[in-house]
Amino acid sequence: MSHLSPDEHNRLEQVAFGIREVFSERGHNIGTALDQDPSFREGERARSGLARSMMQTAVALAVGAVPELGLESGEGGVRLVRSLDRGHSRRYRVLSAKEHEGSFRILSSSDSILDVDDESMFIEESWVLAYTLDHDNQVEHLFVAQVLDRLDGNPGELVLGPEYMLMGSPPAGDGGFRPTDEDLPMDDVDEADDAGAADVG
Amino acid sequence: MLTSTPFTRGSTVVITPAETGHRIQRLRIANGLNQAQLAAATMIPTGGVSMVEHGRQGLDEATLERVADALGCTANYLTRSQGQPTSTRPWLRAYADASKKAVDRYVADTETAIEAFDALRLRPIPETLPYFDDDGNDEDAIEDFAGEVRHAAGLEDGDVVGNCIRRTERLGVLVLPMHDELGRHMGLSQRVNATPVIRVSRPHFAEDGTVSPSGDRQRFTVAHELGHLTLHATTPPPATAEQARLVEQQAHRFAGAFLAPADPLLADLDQLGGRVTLTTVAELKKTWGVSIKMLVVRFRQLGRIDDQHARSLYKQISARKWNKAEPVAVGHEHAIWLTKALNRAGLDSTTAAAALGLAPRYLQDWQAWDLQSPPSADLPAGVVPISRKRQAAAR
Repeated sequence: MSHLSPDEHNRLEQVAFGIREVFSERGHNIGTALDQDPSFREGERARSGLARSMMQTAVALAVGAVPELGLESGEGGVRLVRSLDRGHSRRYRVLSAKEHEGSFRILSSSDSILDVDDESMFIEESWVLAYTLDHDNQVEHLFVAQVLDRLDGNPGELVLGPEYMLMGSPPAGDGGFRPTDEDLPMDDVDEADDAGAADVG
Repeated sequence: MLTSTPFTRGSTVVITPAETGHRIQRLRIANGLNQAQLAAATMIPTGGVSMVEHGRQGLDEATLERVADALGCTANYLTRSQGQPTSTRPWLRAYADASKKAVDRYVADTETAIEAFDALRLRPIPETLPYFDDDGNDEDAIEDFAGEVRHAAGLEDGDVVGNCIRRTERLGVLVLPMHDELGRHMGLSQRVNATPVIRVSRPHFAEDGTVSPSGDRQRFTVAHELGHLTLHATTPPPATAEQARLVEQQAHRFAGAFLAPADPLLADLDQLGGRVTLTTVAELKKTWGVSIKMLVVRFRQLGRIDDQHARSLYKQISARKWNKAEPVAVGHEHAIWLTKALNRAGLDSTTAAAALGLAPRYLQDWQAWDLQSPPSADLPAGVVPISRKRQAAAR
């Protein structure tokens, strides 16, 4: 099991920022689409399908802004984010997760995620880039974790290493808005008429 | 003690009871006192204050002195004939649910201030406010008019309003601080003796520890009130809640267009990639000094986002608890005309107050914009500022 380098974590934070931006701008369209027909609201299938499509687009846009990362298509057209981090060649598979009793669960019906290239000159690793959505179809949690194993079942469940939460914070910019210190055109008024303190008694 | 005759100094009649009664009433209200409190502070019989204020009773010299002490002025101030100020009904942010007592207090204080500045013959900035003569329901007309007001304030098309209060002062509007919020209403505008006046809250620590109002809210309030002064100069007060909602909406639209004009704002958004997300609006807040929520409203007004997108952004704002405290600090502003005008006249708060017969705290409060300024210390014994009473009640 490996750990992320600070540089890798920073790269993934940039990806998370890009993903959150896309959902911030377009996530509401999932709700709009679901409102087109009552049947779309029956069960979670339509929602998760729409969210997955948007997430694939978001990942592609976000990874495009980080030159050190690459993008490839995996089995069934699933997006995979590739990176090389201190001799570890990582493949992040984009998957949805569920929160369950304080931890995250990712169901998987296949072992294929565990397949790695044994002849690679790097240490090949399978990871997930996982997400959960809130009720408003905004990204709630984003994290990466190494896939350690898969528990058999129908469907099975991935066994994950430590989760690295990705906040996706915007790039730190400085300051805020400081009002300007402008003068008033007091001198434009006629001095001759300026009587000053008056007799108010 | 009360007398049934006009006010006297020795045996000399100075002024009619009605005029002095009105001046007493105005200062009492400006100080946040009710009649019973003033009666108690001055040993006037219960009900006597009402008689005095309505000119049905005069006061002997000793009682007049006690009343003057309680109100922070000289007896001469109360008996001086200045004529009744002519005030328009104030416009307020969120018109319908402001407390009448709080509004009356600031109206009385504003009348006192204008009368004082007139008496001191302080030179005003000449008024150059344009007036709106188009259809208030035409949003494009309001957008265009806001551009006209910007030009009158010396701003070019793409200029950021670097200091909203200062630009408003340049238009000949007197801007004075309020020392507690009018409930959740932080702005008030009216004309007193034809002088356009805006009152806006100075920053203070709210009970939850935040500074209220925020700098962006303060700027927006000033722009909103400027909208009322220009758009609604000849509009009668709203007779119904629906009319009140409409005029508020118009003032809001004006404020948005004044602080964040459409073309340069959209150009800045495009420079940031064109996406309307919380990140881009937070960046735009740094440039334009307006709140993130206001920018969402603005992009909806300008057709850059639809209702669903705006709702989504509001939900994201709420989820991040930005409703209470937004990221990106906007500095507070303050007015400078009064301090400069006093300086030009060779006066400071103390000498000006002495010339007027008012306690210095009046002049000091009209210039007090800092967060850290301590409350005025020379309130009469037994008089507690409204803000402190509210805090005690809340506890």
